[in-house]
Amino acid sequence: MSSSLRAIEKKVALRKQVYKTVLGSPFVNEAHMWPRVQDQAVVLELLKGTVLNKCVHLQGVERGQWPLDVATDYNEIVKLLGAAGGPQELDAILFVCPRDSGIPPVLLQQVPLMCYTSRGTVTLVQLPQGSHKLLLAEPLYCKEGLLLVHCNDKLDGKFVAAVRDKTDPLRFPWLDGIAYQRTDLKLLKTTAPLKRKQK
Amino acid sequence: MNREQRERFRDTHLRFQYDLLHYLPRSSSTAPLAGLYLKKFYNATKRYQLQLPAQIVQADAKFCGQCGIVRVAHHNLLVSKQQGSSGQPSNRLLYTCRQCGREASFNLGEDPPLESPKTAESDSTKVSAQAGKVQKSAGSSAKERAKKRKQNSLSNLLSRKNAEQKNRTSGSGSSNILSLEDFMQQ
Repeated sequence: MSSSLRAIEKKVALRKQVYKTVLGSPFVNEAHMWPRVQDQAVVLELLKGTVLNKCVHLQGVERGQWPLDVATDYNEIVKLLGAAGGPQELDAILFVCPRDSGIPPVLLQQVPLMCYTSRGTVTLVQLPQGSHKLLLAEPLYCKEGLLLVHCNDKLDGKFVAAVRDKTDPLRFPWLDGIAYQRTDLKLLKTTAPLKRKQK
Repeated sequence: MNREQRERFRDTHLRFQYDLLHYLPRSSSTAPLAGLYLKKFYNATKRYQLQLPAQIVQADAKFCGQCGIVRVAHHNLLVSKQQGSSGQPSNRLLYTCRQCGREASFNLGEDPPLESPKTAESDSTKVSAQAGKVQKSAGSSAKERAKKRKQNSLSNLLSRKNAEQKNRTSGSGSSNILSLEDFMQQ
């Protein structure tokens, strides 16, 4: 009798509610689509000081004559990330506002994957919530909350190093087989038949 | 199988199926099977009565609606954004599957209004303050929180108020002897 009572008690006993990650596998790594940024406030200040404040003074100046190389258009950024073999490999930092409500999630869904599979070195930096308003200011006007800054001679090296230091790298093991890998092979040693001169 | 074992089996089963879906786009020989595996995965989640997040379930977003392949831009997917026109002001995102050729479009709404640099500057201080606040709260230890709680207790607040009043009276007595307000009060 006592055992049956205990069994009933066990059945009725309240269980605490827990949340388990059912699909959180390290292979897909979907929980960390957007890499973690340490000191987001510092990164935002750096971005303001190095890029945004400079751009404010460039109203009316053509994009080609700017002292920085930036891209803000969605299609342009997608093209740059997927460029198949150009004269130079892409070396850039991509600032994104994935937490802002004005940007549809489907628009940014492929951005981390594109950064991971791109041929160059692209650092993906997620900005804190509410930073989309900063990027909407003239003359940048990043409608989609994307700002790609090329890391070349025009950009301060210390800024690039600081931002890259504070951002975790992307990790999608399932894309490793898909990602472009440069082959070191240039000349293959083989044989070919000798051609005889025909009379 | 008891409850725990059942749950463990469910987790591994679903995780395996989900991982498999991501493994398929690697080679062209396995890619055509994506639809079958996706259906199997959906059926499994249905059987276990699990509700999947919107980013997985949303039609044509993560998986192609026709062939079921996991979308990977520049590999099996062409992405382009189409600007709205006068007839149709909202922008659209166009996905074209390279595997089956299916086109899917998503409504993105209209462009946000242009911000003037001044308002953006004032907002930026708010954003940076918010970001700092979040990190501060995350970094505070249990000891610090307990200290704060103690400081905000009723007796502490009363004693602080009394001390402030004392300071005020002593301050008014020493430094503002010749103020008009004090004279009027007297």
